[in-house]
Amino acid sequence: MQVVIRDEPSMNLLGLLLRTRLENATGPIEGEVEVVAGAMHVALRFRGDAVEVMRGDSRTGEPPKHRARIEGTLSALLDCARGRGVVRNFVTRAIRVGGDPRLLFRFARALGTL
Amino acid sequence: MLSRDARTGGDIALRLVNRFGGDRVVTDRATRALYASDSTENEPHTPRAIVYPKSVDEIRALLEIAREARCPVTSRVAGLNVGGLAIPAEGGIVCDLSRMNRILDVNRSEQYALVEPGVTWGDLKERLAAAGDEFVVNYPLAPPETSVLACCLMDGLGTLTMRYGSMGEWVNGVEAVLADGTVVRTGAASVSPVWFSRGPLPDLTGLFINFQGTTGIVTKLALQLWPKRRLRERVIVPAYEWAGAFEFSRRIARTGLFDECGGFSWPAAKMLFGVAVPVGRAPAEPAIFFAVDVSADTHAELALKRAILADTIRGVRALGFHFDAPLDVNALIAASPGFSQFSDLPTRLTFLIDNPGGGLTWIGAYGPMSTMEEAARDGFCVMARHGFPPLLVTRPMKGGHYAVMRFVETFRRADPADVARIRALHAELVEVVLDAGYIPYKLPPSLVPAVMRRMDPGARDLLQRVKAAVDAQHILNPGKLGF
Ligand SMILES: Cc1cc2nc3c(=O)[nH]c(=O)nc-3n(C[C@H](O)[C@H](O)[C@H](O)COP(=O)(O)OP(=O)(O)OC[C@H]3O[C@@H](n4cnc5c(N)ncnc54)[C@H](O)[C@@H]3O)c2cc1C
Repeated sequence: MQVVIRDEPSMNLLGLLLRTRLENATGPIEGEVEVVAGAMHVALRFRGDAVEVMRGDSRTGEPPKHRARIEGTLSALLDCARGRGVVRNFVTRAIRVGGDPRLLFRFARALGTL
Repeated sequence: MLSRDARTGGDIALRLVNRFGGDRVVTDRATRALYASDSTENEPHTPRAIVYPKSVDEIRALLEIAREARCPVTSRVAGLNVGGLAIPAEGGIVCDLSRMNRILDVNRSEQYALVEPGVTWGDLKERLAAAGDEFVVNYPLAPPETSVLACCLMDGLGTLTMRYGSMGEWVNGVEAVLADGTVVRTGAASVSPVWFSRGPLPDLTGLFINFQGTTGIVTKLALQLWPKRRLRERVIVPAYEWAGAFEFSRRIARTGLFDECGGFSWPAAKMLFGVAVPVGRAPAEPAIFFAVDVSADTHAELALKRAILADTIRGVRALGFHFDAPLDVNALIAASPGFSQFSDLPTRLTFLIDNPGGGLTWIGAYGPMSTMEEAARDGFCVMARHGFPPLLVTRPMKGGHYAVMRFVETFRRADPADVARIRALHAELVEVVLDAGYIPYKLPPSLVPAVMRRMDPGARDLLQRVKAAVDAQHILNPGKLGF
């Protein structure tokens, strides 16, 4: 997937950490996934085979129709991104999700988590 | 003073070629230019010649020629000390020791390795692995092609420094050639056939540590090895406030249970992820990340140490500080492979070494654990004023008896304005660290006066007398310690 990081020099670590995973992801996906780790916050705006990564507090433009949110501790998110402890993290609520389930499913599959 | 002979070259090059042969004396302009500078802001100086000795006798012969011509000699291996310490005197000779690169012994019972100057961290790692992988050493964050012996002489630091002390403390003794050609052995090996310790004798080894090659050319060094534990893991602990971070590192050091608690601040993490010049800490982003190494012989011991780490984090959280749960370094590497630069040592920190401007420099200083906050706060303030992000590498040393604070900058080496900016920054930063009770290690020549001004006059005088005793003509790496 083609990844564009908006305002890279001031992007937070969560966004930078996600970059490689997103580059290796396969689209197409449409919609916006908000990822929250502790107090760090990014929005991933997918358009087909491209994604723009924005800091949560610097989002601009009309929010897309399909939206979802994933929230958790950094360590739980990293685990899940590797496909490890997915069930445990959901059961213990170390990871919480909300929004469009189809978008969430596509996102997880694109990242190889499922 | 350089002799006219040394300044003009005279017949030195010829004499060197006659003694060493043309293939081990280099005088061409392009190679000399390579040896004239390093990655730092320190003034370049072009040597007259580069010589590659292969034995102690050859070093003695080189020094004889240098003495007769009163020509300076600077020892060097990779030249990657990041402090201008291997930049030669103008018109001097560089003694490149990279071809003296034998590991003469790995002594398993007394636990030391006897190395020549050209032995690199990469060589040592390979040899220890081949010899049964029983031992660990104090790998720095330096590239694998750098010298183990030079790192020890500069009293550097690595990932076992929190447990066992700085590199100077890992040395059991040395063999060195003095400027007049005398060969000396220090430590236990001056009496015993075994290089088992520094004492119980007057500590002559200290004459060569932190002297930056100004007292002798060291030809052998006995480096302590420590047993490798069966299990080892590295976790990364993100901390959100500086004060909490330093309190955490103090507490971890005092448990006496962990190998490493090395902190790197947010700009380092961002650079690792490809941001060339990080401009600011994003809202709610960790201030610093600690690499904590846990080693153990049994799973029960490992579990106990993990529990103590978790407890320590709970303790600092209870003070109101925000910490994330420890992250498994392998999870970070899986997410972003660049993170392996912080995991597998020795390492090439490409984001520093290959930075677009080509300039890399720092002021690294050892000092009290009690003033880490003060040093960081005032250091960052000066860095910000000069337009640099607060790139800091820090760790408690030797069980928390003291700490290191290394303020790191990358810059455009070819741009005189940027070089001037670094010089102005360092002139202020050195006073800030000294005010906090810290002392720069691998002291770059330009910072020597600031340190010497604060040094006890008796100690300063004694240093001069020691230097005069071992190198009366001042031919060994002149200018590096104010003499
Ligand atoms: C990105 C990066 C990270 C680094 N991280 C660390 C770190 O974490 N910890 C650390 O300690 N260092 C670090 N370093 C600094 C340095 O690379 C290491 O200390 C290294 O081991 C020094 O070896 P060298 O071959 O570069 O020494 P050189 O630069 O060649 O020599 C260093 C000094 O030793 C003197 N010298 C060399 N050989 C002899 C000899 N035989 N007798 C007498 N004097 C001699 C030289 O004259 C000079 O003064 C880092 C460097 C880089 C570039």
